[in-house]
Amino acid sequence: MKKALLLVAALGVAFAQQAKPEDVIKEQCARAKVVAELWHGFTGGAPKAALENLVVEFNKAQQGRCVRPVPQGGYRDLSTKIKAAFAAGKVPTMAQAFENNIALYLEAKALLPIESLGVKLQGVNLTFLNAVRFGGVVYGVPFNKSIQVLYYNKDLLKKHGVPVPANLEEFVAAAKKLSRAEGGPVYWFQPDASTFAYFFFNLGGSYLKDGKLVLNSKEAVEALTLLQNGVKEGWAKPITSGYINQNLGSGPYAFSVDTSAGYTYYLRAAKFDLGVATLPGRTKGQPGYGLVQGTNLVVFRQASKEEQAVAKDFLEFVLSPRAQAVFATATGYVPVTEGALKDPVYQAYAAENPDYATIVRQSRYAKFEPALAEWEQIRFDILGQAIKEAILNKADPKAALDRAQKLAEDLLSSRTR
Amino acid sequence: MAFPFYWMLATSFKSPQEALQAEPVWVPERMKPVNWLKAARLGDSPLFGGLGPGRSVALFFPGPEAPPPRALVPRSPGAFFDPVADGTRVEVVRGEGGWWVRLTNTGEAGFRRVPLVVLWPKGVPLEPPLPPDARRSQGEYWRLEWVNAVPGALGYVFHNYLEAWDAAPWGRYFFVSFFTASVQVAVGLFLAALAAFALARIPFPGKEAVFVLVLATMMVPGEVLLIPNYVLLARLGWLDTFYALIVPWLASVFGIFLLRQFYLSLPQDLFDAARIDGAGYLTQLFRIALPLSVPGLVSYGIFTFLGAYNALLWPLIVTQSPEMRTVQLGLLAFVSEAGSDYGALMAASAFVIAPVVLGYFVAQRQFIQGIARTGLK
Repeated sequence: MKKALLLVAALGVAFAQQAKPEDVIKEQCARAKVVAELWHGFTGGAPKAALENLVVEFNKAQQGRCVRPVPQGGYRDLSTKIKAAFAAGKVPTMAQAFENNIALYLEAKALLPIESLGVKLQGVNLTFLNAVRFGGVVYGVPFNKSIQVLYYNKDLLKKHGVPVPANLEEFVAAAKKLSRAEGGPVYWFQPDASTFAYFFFNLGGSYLKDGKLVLNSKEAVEALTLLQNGVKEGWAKPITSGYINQNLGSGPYAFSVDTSAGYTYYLRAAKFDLGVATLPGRTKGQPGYGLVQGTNLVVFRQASKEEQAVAKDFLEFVLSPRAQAVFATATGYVPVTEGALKDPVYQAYAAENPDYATIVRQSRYAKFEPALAEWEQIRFDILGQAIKEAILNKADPKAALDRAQKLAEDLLSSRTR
Repeated sequence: MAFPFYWMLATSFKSPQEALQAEPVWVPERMKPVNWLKAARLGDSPLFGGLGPGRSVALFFPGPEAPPPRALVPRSPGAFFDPVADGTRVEVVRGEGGWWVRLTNTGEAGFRRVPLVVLWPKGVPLEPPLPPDARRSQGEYWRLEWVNAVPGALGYVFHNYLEAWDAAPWGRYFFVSFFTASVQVAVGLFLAALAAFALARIPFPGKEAVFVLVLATMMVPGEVLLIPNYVLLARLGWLDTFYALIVPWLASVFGIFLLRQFYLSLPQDLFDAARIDGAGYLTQLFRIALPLSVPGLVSYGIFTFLGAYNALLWPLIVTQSPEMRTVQLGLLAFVSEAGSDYGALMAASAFVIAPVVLGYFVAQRQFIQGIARTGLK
């Protein structure tokens, strides 16, 4: 019995460890007079830890003020909660928001223009910044931005003497050749709007034509047909359960086009030599366009003047080179300012992990999905469904996209304003 | 039933790479006793490992003189400082027909964990002192990774459990979950018993209509009420308090319905006899109806408890400080948008369901006894 107690006590000692960022923040905010809440959608893992580290560092320099990050589940939970908070009239000071969330919040005139706070946006990636510009005014600070990149199996490419493809044609040819040699499809993809967007953008497609949403354009049909043919011809494999990085090992794998936010998970799972390259594009000289995902930080109008002042300082801190470098290298997200690339933390990391420099290079060739308030629903429930039907149920791509277009139009027109 | 349970337990002992393999790993390295002995040799304490200030640990890799391996302590990305990577000296020296990788703590504080990466030339047979947590190809080398090179036996076996426990304030989460669930069961039972008795045994005009109305509320899906309930709680100032977690769930239509059916099955003669002896409605309820409906109470109690203990969406919406969050929200810490940490997730799941499994066995006995008792009547 005594021994058992000792063991339990020893385990208790083993469990105890140095203060966690969460506890440090709690202590920092307990003493503060002004607390600016930041609602976020990082449930856990590296992003949550990295954000908390940022906040701890920021709060250290504050006198009587603090930022308190509040995890609100996943991104969809977060937007649900913000909608509920609007209804209840109690919004936080800051929150993470996708471009389409911003469009929605702006309908309620709930956001503050970032520049009206006095935050300087020089040096911020222009593509990212333009995505949060509504009517010429910037409403968000690009924060955790990920970009699609090409993950590949160096060992397999080397074995068959296949170079990393530089354009779409080469990509398809390489996938076909490797699939024949290995006896199974080597290009893996998730049949969803993100994968589709890569092919769609690089075949010259654009979701908005004269300000109108078009899901069934010529390029869209071409993109979906290419994917469908890939499955038919045996060089593309749809992954329907879990992430691609959870399926490595279940057959020959050569390529996938996936978000840079998954980099650490790919690294963990892969037993082969993992390569990261810029995306194959339309022509040889220039990388293909990758879909940008991830959120921005917005500031709500309802916040008090003192809270807004904290938000201003925090956003400037987030954009500082060191904070950008630390946050980005920790998470696989892309630094949103050029200044971060000169920071020693970034340079040391990029020297050790050349893949990361590739991710940053890819971020200069970025495209966004349309910033419509309804996009979340369209992307998952309408366009996403059409893609699944074509890939998994072999529906005709044109018919599936026509149906999606009709559904999207109904959704957009039936909206009460 | 046993298979998913085994998978959960086995995964709770897997290294990140083992957990992410498409072909399932049935017996993870951490479950093999031979590795426990190897791990016991690494670190200051045979059980808990660690590397105190000024202390060294040496890992031996038998192998030929050329080509030499390389070793490093990887920096943990995302920290402004990394005392372990900065404070550990790594040396690779030749001796005794192999290579020694010596790690020395040059800092002033002890380290509980020292991660290690060894680059081992491909084509050279490998006999590591402890199976690596990950092994992947990197150019001309195998990249071998250990999440902790000084684990000690328990630190090695229970690595995921220790990580999971450290990831969130579980003590507080358990308290909130148990307190919320227990109050919901206790008060919920009391309210349901009163309402059900009235609907089953007290004649009053419009009784059937009231019952139908009560049942009708069962048809409204909970998600529809999410935002109205949230707004109501916000106006009451109850967000992020125990009131928000408990009060909306106290009156349960399911409980009323279940207990009403139980009371109806009791013979009317019992209540007539009680009435002749002068018992009022409350006496009839507490002295006759309740003792005879133990199985109903127990099953309602189990459902309510599990419902409250497993609730995810509601606590997520109405709470936000760590002090008010429940165990299920704690599990979210291991899931992210691009991947999941399955080892730690399963370890956390194992200790989160442990009380429920124990409670199940206790309640099962109660449940069977309850049924047996009614059978005798």
